[in-house]
Amino acid sequence: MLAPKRVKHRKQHRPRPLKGLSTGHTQVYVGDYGLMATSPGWITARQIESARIAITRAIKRGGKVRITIFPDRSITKKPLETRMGSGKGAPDHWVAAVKPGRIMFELSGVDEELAREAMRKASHKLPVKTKFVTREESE
Amino acid sequence: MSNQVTLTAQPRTNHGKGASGRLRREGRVPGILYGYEVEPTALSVDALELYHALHTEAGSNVLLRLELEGETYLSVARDMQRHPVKGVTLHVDFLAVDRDSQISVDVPVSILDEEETAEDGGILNHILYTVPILVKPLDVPNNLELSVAGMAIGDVLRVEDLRGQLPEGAEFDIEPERTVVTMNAPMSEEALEALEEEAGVEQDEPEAVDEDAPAADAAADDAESDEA
Repeated sequence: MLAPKRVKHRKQHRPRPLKGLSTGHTQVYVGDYGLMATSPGWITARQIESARIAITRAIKRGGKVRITIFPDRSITKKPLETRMGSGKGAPDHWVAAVKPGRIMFELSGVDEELAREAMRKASHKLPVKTKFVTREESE
Repeated sequence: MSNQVTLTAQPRTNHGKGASGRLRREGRVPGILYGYEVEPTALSVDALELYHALHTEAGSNVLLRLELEGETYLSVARDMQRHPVKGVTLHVDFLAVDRDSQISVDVPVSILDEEETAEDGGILNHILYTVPILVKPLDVPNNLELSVAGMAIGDVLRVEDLRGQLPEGAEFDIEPERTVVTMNAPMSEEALEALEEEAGVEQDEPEAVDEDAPAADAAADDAESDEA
């Protein structure tokens, strides 16, 4: 699963609710097709991995998948049945904060029909609403 | 050869996001005209007219005859801001050009004969989708065509291979050695299986960076602090 190799601080503030639209990577840059988020959300490393596997299984040996989000925010969690207090919990998992308009996956080397199907399967693994986009549409 | 499309613009006196928002609600797109022999001028164009102007065969490189207050300016759409989700144009920059001076434009590369590649199971990898060229505005080609007929695994086509299609006097605005298309070998069964398997669910906690310690000693310091 994707996770940072080195971090400046182990624990971060809990991310605030996401407002506004994505300002970066809103176009398909390196592939022919992309999967765009149309609602905001935190996508965990497990969900990204699950979506990647869904795309890889759908396109078989052809094509190339690129993941264009990275889970770089740590989310902490206190152990079960623990009383409140005693400091912040231990880092539990990593999330990528995604705003509407962000291209999350890019795909190249396959025809559009197969790309749509692969992205549809990937979208079922993600906690955000998505839209399939082509390079021409996003330019 | 570029088509020329006429686009009517109106000058814009109210600036800022409030005035721009009102213009957009009226079906207009705020923009600016600058470049050859023209002072930067704020303007607005009809959204639908702009859409049709930029969706001809010439694409976004279309040469525009921008009519503004009785004057006509030869221009190209240089930069467009789009809504990230809806895709509608929010703002457009027009660059006034001199018909005798070269400008840099990104020309799309079209791949031809994809069905006629060598039948060795190779997968076509399109790397460069547009090629910037220096060309006179009236000579901008709609696209550059690249035939991949006969390409086998390991073959590479470069920007230099497109030179034959450049208009007279035009030059590449990019290194001619840059790769446009490659033919890659398909993934082996083992590599595909490895990709289809889920990566390890358990993961080590990332190493914390100690800002005070020198980079080489950071790991050792962390280990010591953990033991303590």
